[in-house]
Amino acid sequence: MTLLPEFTFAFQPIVDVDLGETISQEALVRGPNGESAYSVLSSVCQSELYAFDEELRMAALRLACELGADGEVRVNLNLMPRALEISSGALASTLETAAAIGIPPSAITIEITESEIIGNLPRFVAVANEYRSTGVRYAIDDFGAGYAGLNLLAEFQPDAIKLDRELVRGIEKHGPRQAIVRGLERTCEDLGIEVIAEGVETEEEFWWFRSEGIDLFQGYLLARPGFQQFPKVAFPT
Amino acid sequence: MSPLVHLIYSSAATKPLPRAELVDLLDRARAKNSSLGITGMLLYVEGSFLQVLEGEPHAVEELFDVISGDPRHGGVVTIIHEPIAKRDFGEWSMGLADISADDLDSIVGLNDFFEMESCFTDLDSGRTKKLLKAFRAGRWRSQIAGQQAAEVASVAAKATSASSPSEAPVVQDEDERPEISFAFQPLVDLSNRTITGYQAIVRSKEGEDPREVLSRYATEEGRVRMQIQSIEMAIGMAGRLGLTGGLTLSYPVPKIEEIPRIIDSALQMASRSSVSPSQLTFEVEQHDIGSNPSWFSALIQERRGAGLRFSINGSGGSRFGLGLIDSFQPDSIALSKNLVRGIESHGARQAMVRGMIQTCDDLGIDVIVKHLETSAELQWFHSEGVELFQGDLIAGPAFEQLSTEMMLPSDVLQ
Repeated sequence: MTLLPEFTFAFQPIVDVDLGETISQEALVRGPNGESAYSVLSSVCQSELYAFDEELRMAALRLACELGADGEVRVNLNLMPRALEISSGALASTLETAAAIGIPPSAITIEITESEIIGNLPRFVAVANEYRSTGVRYAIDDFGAGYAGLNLLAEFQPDAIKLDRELVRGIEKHGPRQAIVRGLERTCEDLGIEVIAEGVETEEEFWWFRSEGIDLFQGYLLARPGFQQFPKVAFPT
Repeated sequence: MSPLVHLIYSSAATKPLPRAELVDLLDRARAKNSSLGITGMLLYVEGSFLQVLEGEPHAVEELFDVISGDPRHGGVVTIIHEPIAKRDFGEWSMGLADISADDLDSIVGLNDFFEMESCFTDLDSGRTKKLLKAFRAGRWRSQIAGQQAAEVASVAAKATSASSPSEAPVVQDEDERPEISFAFQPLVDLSNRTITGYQAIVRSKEGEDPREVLSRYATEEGRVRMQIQSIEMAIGMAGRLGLTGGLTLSYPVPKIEEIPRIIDSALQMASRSSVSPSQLTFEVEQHDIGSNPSWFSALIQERRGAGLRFSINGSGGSRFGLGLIDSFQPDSIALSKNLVRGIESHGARQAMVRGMIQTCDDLGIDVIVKHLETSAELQWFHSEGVELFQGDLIAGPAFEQLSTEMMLPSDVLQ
C-alpha cells in the first residue's frame, strides 16, 4: 500500500430554517491545512481510491463524534461514484464504525451523485436497499445537473435530493429554472422525498426557495464549511 | 425580414397601482414602444405583471433592460426569451378591463375578460397563449412580500392576427425519389376532440415496413440525402392531401451535425408547397441531443424564427436531462414509452410525470402522450390534464391518407 495523503474534514450544516435548527452536518474532506478535497483525492492512486473512500467515511464519523455528533444531529457522508457497484461492502465499514462510537445508522445519510447510480442502476438499487434495512438514509447530490435526472426517481427513491447549484444560481430571475424546480418539488412531494436547496449564496435565492415552501438549505449564505468544527449558522431574517 | 424575438417576463408592482397610474403607464409605454417597433401585451392582476414584448432582438433587449430597472416593480423573472416567426400582437393597442375587486373573483374575472375579448382567442396556439393560460391559472404571479394590491385590474393588448399568406401548391418532380411513401397518424387533441395534426411515418411504396428500402442506403451521405428527400416527400404529399393542421416530421438523425441541412431543405420544400413552415414540427430524439445540448439549442433558436416548431421525443426516458429545458424550451415534448406503459399502476412514474407536466405547463411546453396501448393509460393522462395524444388505440396511421377517424374509448368521454 502506497502512502495515503493526510486528510481531515470540514463540516457544513444542512439547516431546517422552519424549525431554526441544524439537522445534519455534511463531512467534506480537506487536507491537513484546509486544502481542497480535490487536492487530497487526486493524490490517491486509482487502485486504492475505493479503500480510501471507505477510510474517509470512518474517519469523518470519528471526527464528527469528537465534535459532539450524538445521533441527534445527522451526519452526511459522501460515497464515491460507483463505490457500491465496485464493492457491495462499501458501507459495511462505515456502519461498523458508527456502531462502535454510538452513532445509530438512522443518523447517517449517504450522499451519492447521479453518476454513481446510472452506472449500473439495478445493482445500485439492490445494494442500496439492502443497507436501507439498517436505517441508513440516502440523498442524491447535485440533482438536476446530469443526464439521469428525473427518470432516476422512477427506479430509486432517495430520502432527499440536493438541488444542483446550477439550478439554484440566480433562480429568482430565471423562469425556466423556477419551472424545473417546481416540477421537481411536485415529483418529490408525491414520492415523499425531501428537497434541499444546496449552494445557496444570496438572500434572493434563499427567499425564492422559501416562497416555494422549501425548508431545507445548505450554502454559504447560512454557513460556510467549518474546518474541523461544526460552524455557526446565520439564519436570514 | 429582420429577425424577431419575444421576451415574456413576470414581475410584482412595488406598490399597488391605482387605475389612473396604470393607464398613464400604458399610454407612455405605448408611445415609446411604437417608436421602437415593439409590440406585445401587459397584464396586471393583483399586483402582478405579466408582459410580452416582441420585436427586433436588440430593441427588445434594450427595452427590457430599461423596464428591469423601473422602480415601480421588482422581482422580475425572465420566463421565455426566444426567436419567433411572427408577431402575436400586431400593434400595441391596449384595452383595459375591470375586474371585480373581490380577491376570490379575480381569477374568474380574468377568465371572463379573456372570453369576452377576442384578443386571447385570436392568438394562435403558440407559446404566448400557453403562458397567458398559465398566468390565468395563477402561475407566474410575482409578489413582493407583504403587499396586496388594492385594486384589481387587467390590461391587455388587442391582437391582430397576422395570418401568413399561403402559396399555391407546386406539383412535385417525383424522379429519383427513394421508393418510399408515407402513412399519416393523427395527433388528437382531447380537449375539443379534434385532430390537430399528423405525424408522417415512412412506409415502403406498398405501405409496408420500409426497413428493406432504407437499408439500401449504405453510406452516411446517402442516408442524409434519403432523409432530406423523404422529408420533402412527406411535406409535398401532406400538402397535396390538403393538410390544414400540423405536420410532425421525425427521423432518425444520421448525425446531429446534419440536422441543419435537413431542416433547411424542409423549409425550402415548404416554400414550394402549400404547407407553411409554421405547420411543421420537427421531432428530435432526446438521446440525439444529449451529447451536445448547447449546440442543439443554438441551432433550434436560429431556425425558430422561420416558424418551425420543435418537439423532443422520449422525454423522461433514460438520459432525460433537466438541464436541457433550462437552456432551451421546445414547443412540445413527447413522453418516453417507458413512462407511458402501465402508468396507471406505477406511482413513481406518475409522480415524475406530474412533475414534468408542472414544469412544461409553466413554460408553455405541450406534453404529448404517444405509444398509448390501453384505455387505462389514456384515462390516467387525461385525468392529469394532458390533452394531446397519439396512438393506435385512438387513431392509427393511414397509408397515404389524412384520416379523420378517431376511436375514443367511451370511459374517457364522460
